[in-house]
Amino acid sequence: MNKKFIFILFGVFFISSFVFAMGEAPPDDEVVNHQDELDLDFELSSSGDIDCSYNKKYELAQCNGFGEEGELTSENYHFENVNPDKPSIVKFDKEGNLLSANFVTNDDGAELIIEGEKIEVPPNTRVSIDNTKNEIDMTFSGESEIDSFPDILSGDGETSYIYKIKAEGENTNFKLPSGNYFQEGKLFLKNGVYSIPKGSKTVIDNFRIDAESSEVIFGGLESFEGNQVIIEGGGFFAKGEGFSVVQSISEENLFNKKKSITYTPKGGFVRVNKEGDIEGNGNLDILIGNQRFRSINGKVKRRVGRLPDLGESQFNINFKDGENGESISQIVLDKNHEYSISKLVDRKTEEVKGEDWKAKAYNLMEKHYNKYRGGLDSYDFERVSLPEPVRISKSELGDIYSDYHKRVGGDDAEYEGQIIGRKWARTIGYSEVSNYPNKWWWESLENSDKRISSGDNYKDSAAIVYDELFSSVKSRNPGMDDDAIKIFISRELGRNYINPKNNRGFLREYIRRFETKGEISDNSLLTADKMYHVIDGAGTSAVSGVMTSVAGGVAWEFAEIFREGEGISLGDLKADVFGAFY
Amino acid sequence: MEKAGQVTIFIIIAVVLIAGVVAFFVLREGIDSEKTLSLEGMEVKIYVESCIEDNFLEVLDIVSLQGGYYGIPDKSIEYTLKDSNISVVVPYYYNNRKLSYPSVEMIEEEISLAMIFLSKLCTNVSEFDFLVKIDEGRISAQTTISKRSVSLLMRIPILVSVGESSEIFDKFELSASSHLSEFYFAALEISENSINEEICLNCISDILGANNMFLESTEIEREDSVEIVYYLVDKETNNAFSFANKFFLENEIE
Repeated sequence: MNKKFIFILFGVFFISSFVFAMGEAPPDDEVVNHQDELDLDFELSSSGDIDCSYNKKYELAQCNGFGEEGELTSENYHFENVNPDKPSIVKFDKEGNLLSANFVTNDDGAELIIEGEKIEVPPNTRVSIDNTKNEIDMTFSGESEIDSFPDILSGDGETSYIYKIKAEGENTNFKLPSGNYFQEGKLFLKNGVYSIPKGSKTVIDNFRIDAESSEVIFGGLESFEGNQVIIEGGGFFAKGEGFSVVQSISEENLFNKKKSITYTPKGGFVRVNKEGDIEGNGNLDILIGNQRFRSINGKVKRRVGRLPDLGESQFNINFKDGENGESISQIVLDKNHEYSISKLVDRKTEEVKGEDWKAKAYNLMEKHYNKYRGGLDSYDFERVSLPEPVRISKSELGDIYSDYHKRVGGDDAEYEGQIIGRKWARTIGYSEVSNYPNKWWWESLENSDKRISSGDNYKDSAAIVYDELFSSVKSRNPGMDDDAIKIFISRELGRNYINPKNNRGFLREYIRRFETKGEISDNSLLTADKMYHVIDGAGTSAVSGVMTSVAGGVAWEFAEIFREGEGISLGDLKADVFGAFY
Repeated sequence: MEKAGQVTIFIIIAVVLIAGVVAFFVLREGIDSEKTLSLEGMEVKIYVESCIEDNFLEVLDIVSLQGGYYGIPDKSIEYTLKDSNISVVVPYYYNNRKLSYPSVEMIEEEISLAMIFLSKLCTNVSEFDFLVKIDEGRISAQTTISKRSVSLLMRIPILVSVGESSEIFDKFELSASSHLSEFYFAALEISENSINEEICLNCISDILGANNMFLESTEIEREDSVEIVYYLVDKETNNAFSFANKFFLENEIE
């Protein structure tokens, strides 16, 4: 009897516990109405093991801890297939607008609804939504794909969502709706326009797009198939056949105007132009700064123009030719505007063997110059004890001592002079013996103590020194960095040098240039002041243009005239110097 | 009458044969005169020839490095080799919308002139303890550029006198392996593909591939032009050939 009672009591307790438990925890497939439960002003329901709460202080509803088969639904949003082993959280404001969400999809992938739009999310993808920034981040790893992007993100709708997708880990291949494989880095999508953010290196279809120095923007990846053109490293990127690229470079210093690219469907190269017109001729036409790259009938051509300011970055352009892409040419433009063109396929074999060619060339020319230093029968300078020069002028190269000469010996053709401070000065002359017009070499003047023995040679050497001095040495010889120069040259030599039979093209070119601009006329008076300006300045004025072009003799003649307080008009200059040769 | 005719023919044949033999030995003596040089003559010849050869190889390298010129061409740009104070003179192969490269004959002449000019370095024969005279006024040179080689024929009249015997010789023949021809034609092709102020990039690539070369270049911006200095470099030898193209920017793209 007693045992029977205990048994009945145990049974009642067991059944009541079961009933109680059923009342406390509804089954997984039971939908929980959080609107009623939490007294929310919007519809929110869930199924599965999800913990939702409402924070009155911050006026937000928060659901986290998605369990197995957990789903969360509101009027415009739906979340499902969340990996229960990873942290998950979804937040809404008091009106039911999504504030943020962060979770990882499970092995089945998910079909979310954001702002009423379905969004396909591959398996094992981290989703991070920040609705305050209108950003949806997805981070992919491993093999995955989606069939389409929702209109809300990729279409032309009014949405301002930015779709940020990232690829992480090795062997990641995220197949985009276009059929292209996104493998590494970051790729943004907004209103149908793809972009790679500045600082990212992104790999699509095994092509690396380096957006290190500027954002790279695409115009869609609808048919990202060809292998034609890649511009990377701060530039934009196009990939030829079937690839539609539109827009633009964000950095003003790289590309000061927006450029657009569209493609032509018949193979060949992408068409790029400012307007974004589709030319439909299968040709490439890319404009970078004032550099135009285009392809006509398979010939990739670059129209020469001013190079863009490359800043600190390197600008690589790779061309992959042919249908099978066997032959890839690369152009590398660096910040010094040097570029090399090579075939990528040959790159390994292009490694320098033994002595670098520049070192070899240097040694060759050094030997060449040394051979003549003090050799043969002319080009000797002597460091003599001379009085202080009358005039010392400043130039971009340093001090110029330009108006002293001293005749030595009884022969008019013999002079002595001095050039100091310039490590090398070139000498040139005519040889009466060989009639070889262009023999030349360099004379070390740094520690020179040699005597000029030939007036004829000295004439030309001085002329060249002047040429070096007054012409735009920096641009011609970027490597030169000279401190000062002293030049002693006779008026007689100057007169000799202005023989119109000599090459006056340089001077003519300058005069005409300034004449064309209307900055100088025949009545322009060249005076001593202007002469100083010529020497002091950086060659910006019309007169400096003339003077910088003067090779030695004329300059000296001017110096003589100016010292006497006179001047010379350009008209007289032309008549005197060039005569019928102008 | 018939016999007389036969005799005449035999006589003519005999005369021709004898003349031929004599001519052979005379000419052979001339051709082989160097073989018959005395020891002193050989000493001088070897000295001069060795000096010429050194100059020749150097001239070829310099002419290559300076785009076909040993001296300074009328239209050229002087450009400093990177990180050095050594510069080379680079001729324009394309300038002012015109091709302006030297002809092969001009380059050959340039090499010849350089060799004549440099022959002074090889004619210092005062060290010999016998009489050596060189007629510097009659020194001549003839250069031929061929595929993968350049040959030189120099005439330097040299008189060597030892005791009462004297001998004269003047012929110096040299040939050197060189890619000057390949460089030149590659530069030509690149320049010709640059007309209309455009550079054909994959043409360059093809040219380089066909010649086993690589290319380095530097661009220099001027007020109204852009100058590109090219250095073609042979991958095997690292010998370089430079040339420049000058592009005017009148119709600059906005």
